[in-house]
Amino acid sequence: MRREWEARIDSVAAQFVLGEAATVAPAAEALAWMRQEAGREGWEEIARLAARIAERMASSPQWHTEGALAEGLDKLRRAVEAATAGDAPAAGKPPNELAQDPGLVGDFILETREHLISIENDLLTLDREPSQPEALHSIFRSFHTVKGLAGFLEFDAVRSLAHEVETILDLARNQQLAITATVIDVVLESADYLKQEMNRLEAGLAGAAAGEAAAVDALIVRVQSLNRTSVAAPQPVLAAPPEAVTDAVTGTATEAVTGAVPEAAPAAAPATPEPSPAAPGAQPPAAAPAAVQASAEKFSVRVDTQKLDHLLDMVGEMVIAQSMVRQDPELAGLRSPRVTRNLTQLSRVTDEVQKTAMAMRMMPVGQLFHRVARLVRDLSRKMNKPAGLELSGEDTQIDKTIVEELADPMMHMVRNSLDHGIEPVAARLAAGKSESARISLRATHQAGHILIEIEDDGRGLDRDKILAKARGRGLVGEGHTPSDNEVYNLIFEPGFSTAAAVTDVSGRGVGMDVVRRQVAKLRGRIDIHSEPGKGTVFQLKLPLTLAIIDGLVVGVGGERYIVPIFAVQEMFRPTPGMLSSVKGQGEMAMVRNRLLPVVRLHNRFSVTPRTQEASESLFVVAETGGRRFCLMVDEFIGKQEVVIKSLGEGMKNIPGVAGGAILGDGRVGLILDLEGVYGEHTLA
Amino acid sequence: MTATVSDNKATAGQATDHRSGKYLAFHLGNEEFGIQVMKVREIMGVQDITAVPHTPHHTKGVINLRGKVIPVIDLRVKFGLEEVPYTQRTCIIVVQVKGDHASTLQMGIVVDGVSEVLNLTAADVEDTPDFGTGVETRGLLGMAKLKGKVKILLDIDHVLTAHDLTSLQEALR
Amino acid sequence: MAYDVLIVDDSPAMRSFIGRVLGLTGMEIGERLEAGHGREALEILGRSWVDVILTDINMPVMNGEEFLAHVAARGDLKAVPVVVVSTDSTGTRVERMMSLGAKGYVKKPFSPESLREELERVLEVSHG
Repeated sequence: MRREWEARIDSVAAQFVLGEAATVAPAAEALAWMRQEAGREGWEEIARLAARIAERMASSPQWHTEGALAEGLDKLRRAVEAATAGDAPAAGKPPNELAQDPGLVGDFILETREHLISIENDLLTLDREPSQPEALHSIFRSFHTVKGLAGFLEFDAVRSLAHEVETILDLARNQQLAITATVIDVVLESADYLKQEMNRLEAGLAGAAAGEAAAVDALIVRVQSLNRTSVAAPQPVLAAPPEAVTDAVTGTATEAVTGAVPEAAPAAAPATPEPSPAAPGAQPPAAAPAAVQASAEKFSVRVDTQKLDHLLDMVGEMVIAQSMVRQDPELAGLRSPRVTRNLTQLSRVTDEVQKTAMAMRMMPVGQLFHRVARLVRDLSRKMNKPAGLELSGEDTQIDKTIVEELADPMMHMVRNSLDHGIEPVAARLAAGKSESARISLRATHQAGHILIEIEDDGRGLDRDKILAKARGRGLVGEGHTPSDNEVYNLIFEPGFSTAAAVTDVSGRGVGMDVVRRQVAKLRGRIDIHSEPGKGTVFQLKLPLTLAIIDGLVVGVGGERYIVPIFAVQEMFRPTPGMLSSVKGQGEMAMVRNRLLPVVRLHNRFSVTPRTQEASESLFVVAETGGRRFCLMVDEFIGKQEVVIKSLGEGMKNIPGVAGGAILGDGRVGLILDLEGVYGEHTLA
Repeated sequence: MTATVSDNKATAGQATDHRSGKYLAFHLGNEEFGIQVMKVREIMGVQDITAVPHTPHHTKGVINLRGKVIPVIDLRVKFGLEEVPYTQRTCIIVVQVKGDHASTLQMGIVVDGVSEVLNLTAADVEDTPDFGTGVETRGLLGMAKLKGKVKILLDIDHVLTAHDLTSLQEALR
Repeated sequence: MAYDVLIVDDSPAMRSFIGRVLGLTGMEIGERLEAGHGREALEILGRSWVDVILTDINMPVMNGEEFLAHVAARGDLKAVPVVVVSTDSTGTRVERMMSLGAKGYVKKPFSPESLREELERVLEVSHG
């Protein structure tokens, strides 16, 4: 039976392989057989699929080149395998089969994570404004949904925890429980637990040994105990004006209360609202826009990111194909106004499609900011430094990947600000500053870039101290007096700023050098401005998208490479007098009174160049990670915007290569990763 | 499910005959090989291959497959055979193989030429002969004898993703 | 006959869960339509044929109660039974939903059997 099917499927598949020589008749015949047979077996889906494949084959003259058809055939094969392997069709299986379905579990993880983001965000709003009904309602709804989903999948720990939290929140909704800092802490902790569980489940999906759910009982008991307090002290606390209390309580009290949470918080924390670590002046993110956003999301569609990337790829190709048509000399030779007009229209439409497709990869930077908000709340308590966070430009759109990759560096910089920038309360008061510090996150668009600023009103960078440390390490020569900017940038040197050490919030202390490297990886740059006694601003300048890169196409031998323009300072043909060979350092070139190392690309990549003679070649002066060097190539071919493509699995971490791009003539050119190219040089 | 309708002569052997079916036959020098047709996405002539530095010698580079960049492997080099210049008949077979984490990936393989599509029954396929102790034959599905010629059936998933094919190379000598 | 079903729930994952359980009931399901809240559901009901509605209660924009009231108020939808699907199955809640016009009630999570039973009841399908 199964063999019979396989033979038929194979015979259809064989036609695809024969290419031009393929004939539709035997394939159609085989498909007709399958359709009939599936009908007899009652495999309706299979019958329909076979019919659809046959129909598509009949309607497309180029059917044998269609990947979709081959995929359809694959699907058919799998369906037949499933139908012949199992004994009965799926009907009547027990429902906990749902938990075995990676697709459904994946949906669950995805959706729960979305809820967790909004839960955290809303909790921080509540923290500032305990009587925000919209935020409270939204948190309730999120836990409610998570509970329902977990129930179906029989993830009992998640379900029970979500149920208990939901109960507490329901009491709060009905004004039977005050939203105190203790309540927020416990709910945040519950959210953290769910986050961990999602990671565990995800690891399980990826094939890792996922293990058991983490212990949840103690947490559940603590959630329940919140409830008991409310019964013991049923006071209408929601009405209490939060400002008055916040002003009266110092950060020390906050610390004490937080510390008491694990054992008997309920008893120690009666109906008085806890002080909020956020300054009373801190601007709360308006709840109304959040609600609008939530309802707008209901009309959106989820798209597999792979599909999206494929769409972007194809759009990129379409743009290139379009420009090839437009520049076709034969068409130009027609000198037809109508053709010209239509081509112009085509390119306008293509541009629009490309912009829209790009926009689909974009997301608001706000999500990132809200993670930082959580960090500021936690750290300001832990360090006993009250701080308020001001956000602006949360709706600024930025490439999804950048948002993801930027999270760690942002967290690190904010932690750095709180750790080193913000003074202890006493010092702030002595300096005539407000007790509560202010940290601002801003995002704005700026001429094809996005600018993210992190500002604090702390003590500013200590120029003398940094310089002394740098001199001690030999980073700055004794005779040299660097500018302020040069001094500040020293904190990005490897090993310079590990003082931030270990906190349990963002893990092991990484140096600021990691921040700079990460930002460079995203093709961005970072600047610091600081004023003693007034504060520090970190400025991150990032590209809007990672999908497209502006590049210089250069040639070496028969190969062509793309150098990202953002890293290029200048290009020139060297004269023999510029070159020198420094012992132990290799080739150097004197460029604008600076001696720069020369990297011969043909040596790095083992290709045969057109010329070995530097004076017949072209030097591209590039800067990466704060170091400048000359890249020697044969020639400059042109400037082009290219769509960045992965070289595929197994070719991901090739030193010096950031990816591939399809050039105007259809060939693939490699995009250089200058850091990698240079890094190799230092090893050589 | 029992085979109620099938009157096919080979039904009896169905548990073990997963190797029967259609194969695309190609050759490297005098040696004939076959890969399962279901793995094949398309066949194209040799086009400009962009070299990628710091990759194994058998990786010829990458090509543009309708907007997608895919790696190309030279099967001669991979099998430790002598390299020859590409001719008019040389072609790239694009195959879809299993990658890490249950993903699939497309790759091109350079072969000297493709010949035909074979329809093999269980009776045509034999197990790989014992090449002697210590020689593993993973990467091989078996051998097919057709019209007096032996064709080596490759497990292309394994051939393309395994890092070490020494034993297979030995076997081919 | 295959039944066209409209699933109303603000959680996309929940909609696919319910859809999956529907598939396991062994009932013949035709179109499976989905809406994120009551208003969207009403729009769909305006343009598509639906044999039975499964709805959640707690939803943004238009919740299950409001939705039921709207369906009940529309003469053309009289023949379309609504089954409430909720985690909350307290007597008062069930009573309230039934009084608003719900024909059936299933508590989340549910088995394919219990869903089938309820659907067959509201659709007046006889066994056989």
